[in-house]
Amino acid sequence: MRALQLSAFGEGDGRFADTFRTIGRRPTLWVELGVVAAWIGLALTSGDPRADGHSPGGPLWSSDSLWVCIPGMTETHSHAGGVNASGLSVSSLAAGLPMWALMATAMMLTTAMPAIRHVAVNSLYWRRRRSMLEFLAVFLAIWVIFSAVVLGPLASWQPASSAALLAGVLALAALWQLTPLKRRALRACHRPRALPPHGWRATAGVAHFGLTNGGACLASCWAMMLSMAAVSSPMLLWMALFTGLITAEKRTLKPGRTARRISALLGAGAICAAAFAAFS
Amino acid sequence: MAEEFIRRDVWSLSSEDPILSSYARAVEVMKERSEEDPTSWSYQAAIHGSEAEPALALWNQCEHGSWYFLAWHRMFLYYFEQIVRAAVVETGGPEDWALPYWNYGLNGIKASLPEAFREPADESNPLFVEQRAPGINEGAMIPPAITSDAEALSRPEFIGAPEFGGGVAPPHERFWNETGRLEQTPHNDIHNAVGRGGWMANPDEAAKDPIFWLHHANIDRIWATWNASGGANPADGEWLEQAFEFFDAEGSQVAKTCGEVLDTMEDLEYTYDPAPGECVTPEPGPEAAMAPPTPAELKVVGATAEKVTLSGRAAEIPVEIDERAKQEVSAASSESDPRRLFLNLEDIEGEVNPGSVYGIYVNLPEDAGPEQLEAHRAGNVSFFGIERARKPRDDEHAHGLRVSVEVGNLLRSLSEGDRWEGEQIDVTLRPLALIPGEGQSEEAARELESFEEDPPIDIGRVSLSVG
Repeated sequence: MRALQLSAFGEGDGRFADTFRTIGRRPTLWVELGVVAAWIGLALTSGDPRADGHSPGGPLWSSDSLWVCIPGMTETHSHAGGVNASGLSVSSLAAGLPMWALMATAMMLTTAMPAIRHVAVNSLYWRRRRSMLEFLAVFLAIWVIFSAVVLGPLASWQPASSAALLAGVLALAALWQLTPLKRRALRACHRPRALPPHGWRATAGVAHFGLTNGGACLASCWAMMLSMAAVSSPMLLWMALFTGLITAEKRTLKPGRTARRISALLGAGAICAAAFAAFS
Repeated sequence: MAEEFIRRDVWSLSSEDPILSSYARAVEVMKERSEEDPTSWSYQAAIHGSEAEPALALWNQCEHGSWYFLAWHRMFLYYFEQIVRAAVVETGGPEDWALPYWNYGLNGIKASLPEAFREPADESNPLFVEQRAPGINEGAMIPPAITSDAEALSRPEFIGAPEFGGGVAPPHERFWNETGRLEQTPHNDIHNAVGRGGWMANPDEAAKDPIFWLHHANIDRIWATWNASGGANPADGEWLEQAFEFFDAEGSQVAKTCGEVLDTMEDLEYTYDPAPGECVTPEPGPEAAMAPPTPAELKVVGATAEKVTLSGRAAEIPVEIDERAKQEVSAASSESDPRRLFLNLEDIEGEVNPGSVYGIYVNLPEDAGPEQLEAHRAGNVSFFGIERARKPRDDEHAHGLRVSVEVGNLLRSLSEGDRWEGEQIDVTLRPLALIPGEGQSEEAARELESFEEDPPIDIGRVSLSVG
């Protein structure tokens, strides 16, 4: 679904005032500001020189790898191979949840703005913010759980060659892009639903939409996001790249064609990574 | 000066008029051409839509539920008319041949299918199609609630789903859900009224019926009429510069932009008789008072909690107005308030278009007579293209349909007559039946009112919004 609003800016002195008024009236403005804040938060933490995993301020990521810090690991992993010293525990996963949530907010909400707008404009006026929060809670929970349960353990795994791991997950992502299941999930990402107006039905309706939309988003993008567990610094650049790719295939007028082009890009990346693994 | 082609009212022509007899011969010639020839009858119909696989170049291009609907169909007709004219000349017909139009809005006998399209009712008549709604080929008349262009012509703006030309939608999404008022009524409704259970009700077959082109010529004429009465087309570059491709009379691929088809005379060298500016102003429709433009941001103030299933019978749908918004709704329905109220039928889904047209009524009394029905009618809803919205072609998105009608004036008049007190509104959807033609039997007349075999249609939500 495409957010389609024509600009209605007037001419002359009132133009900028009108622009600001239009922006200020956006029902999703606070979510958009939250997404921007999440990206700034990611940028600041990734550039933090203390970010070696020992920071008392909580889990951060090092310039070498995001993942060693996010699950609450106490040792940074080496690309030379080996097994992480501390392994994974429930407490380490829990410690990483805030950072997973920050990453999901920055990356996945960027791609889900049309669905969030659908919730906003189709809820009772006074209930808009609450409905959006209910949607966000379900949508983000799906991604945080996936990140903590799948990406965390994968990131903690230390294969002999991280380039080979990267080649493998990129190849998997490239293949997934071409499957009918991916196509169906991508279509489901665009499917708005009628929302009940009042009471528990409204909460259940929004939660159900969060579940179906978040589930479709996960089914569509899990393979690409798996690649995030295998890449190394600069993390922010990788996150921006994958966010751009996912947003493109969700928002473009020809999503199937875009998904195929992204598949080619991921395939080329897999070949490059495999070549690097073979010759290094 | 370039030659001027004049499109005439089909009901002003006799069945033997050269315009109609030439059209019939041209249809025959085009049907004899290879199906892979872009100037053949089946290929031209497939440009609008076709279920055949594999799709050939430029098949399935029609734009619906979109602000491109009018411009795309104007171009489609323009090139089709060139192809037919070439065939007309080839068979010895007039060189100035132009497509006639069917002005069903004149009602009465003129709202029945012109005789040349139904008699003789056999294969010897290239304009006859058996796959039409029950009663249509026997001369049944389409009711004024379906044929009226008054509500569309009363819309002050082009852009917007409750406005004249439809809401902003991406190009090449062939059945989006930003259907404008002209596209809904009479366009979609006429497709159903003529084609219920047949070709015209299905976008993949509609253009195979020779009446399709006269119906669309009328829709094009109504657009020109709206322009002539001061209606302004979109000035947005995204709309003006959007190009669509077709085939010309030589079978060559050609393209035009929306900005190149705004003036039928200046840009495309045709006009209508009578000229659009000379048309009689129609009687006001349900929301005919000129309203301010649709606001960009609407607020939902009431909605149903559960979906409604339509299956050919009347459905009553109570829409509860939220307690916190009742005052705002009452205020917005007053004449002095600039805010406007819209009734929305959202997330409409179904496997197949049942072909019915439903009138949308608000607070309709039991056993309402014809006058009360019209006094309580907010507009129509029909489901042309619902199959394609659910299972789109190529790379398009699946989605439900949506219909929005303005109800501010209606609620005000109901309030003044003590038929609405600012509380919940009761929406009734009732199928609109054809009117039996002269000489039709009672049994045939009863058949016109039978909708009980209709396949089901789900309406996800009915809501009221203010802005």
